[in-house]
Amino acid sequence: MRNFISGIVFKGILICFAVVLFLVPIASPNPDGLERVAKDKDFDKNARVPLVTALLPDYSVPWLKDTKLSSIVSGGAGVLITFGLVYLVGKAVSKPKKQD
Amino acid sequence: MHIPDGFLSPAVSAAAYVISGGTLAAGIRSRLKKRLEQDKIPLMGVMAAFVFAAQMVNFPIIGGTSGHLIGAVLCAAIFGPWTAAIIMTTILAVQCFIFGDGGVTALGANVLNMGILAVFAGYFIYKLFYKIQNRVSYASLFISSWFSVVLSAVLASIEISVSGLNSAAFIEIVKLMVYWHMLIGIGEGIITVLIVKYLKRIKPDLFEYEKV
Repeated sequence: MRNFISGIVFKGILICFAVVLFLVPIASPNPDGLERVAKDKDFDKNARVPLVTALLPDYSVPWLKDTKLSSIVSGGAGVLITFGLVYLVGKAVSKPKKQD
Repeated sequence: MHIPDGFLSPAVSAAAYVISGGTLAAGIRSRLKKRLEQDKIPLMGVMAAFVFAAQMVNFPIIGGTSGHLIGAVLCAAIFGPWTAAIIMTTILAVQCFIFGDGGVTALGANVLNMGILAVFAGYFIYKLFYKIQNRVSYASLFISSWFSVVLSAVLASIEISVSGLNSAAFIEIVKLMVYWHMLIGIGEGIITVLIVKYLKRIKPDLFEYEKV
């Protein structure tokens, strides 16, 4: 079971990286549904610069500027951060393991 | 549909935080802490990472707009609604704080829309179909995924409109949001079905596990 889990985790993370490497660079640059409505109804100007300074703002690495490489690297980081954080949160909210 | 800072009034922002926070806290206390087995955690991590990656891949929609997977029903169909809500909330928090996608003041609302409403409404519809058909059907996944997107778009419209920070009429905002998200929902449905098809092939009993 253990081996299966670690196998699935490893393969799963690889698939995530593949998505970031191959699909993110060809993602549509069009505004999403909400952005589009905000623009058409003239309230997109209400959007404030995020109040919290993001580490990887807008899915880019600051020193890599606004390039596809920037998106890929930040996406890869996001995959690992998300995996790690959900792992920690999962441990915190799940049924405690029985102490023998 | 990550709402940025500046779209919601303090009152709406706070109310959303309270409702989201309260709901999640209740779920953790009454369900997750009692029934979520720790052996699910690695898979939760992988699915969360996948949904994060997939949310970065915007697909074009007719009319010059784009959409992306939310992943609420995908997670709920595997893990159950409360676990899915925790997964979605964590993803939204990562997006908000690390990537600036979705405002901090709007995180409560974004969680309410995409982590709670999308999850529970979608799962409710999915379960309804399951009770009738007695199996995981692609039709049920498509329909429940579609509704998860459209309903969360409606709630986002309500939040933005009630906030009163813009001059657009509520009905105008809702009409447009529903229009675009009906189209985006088709993408969500298709992508969800394709992913489930793949997952069923590599692990057929994945959808039989106890759902929390």
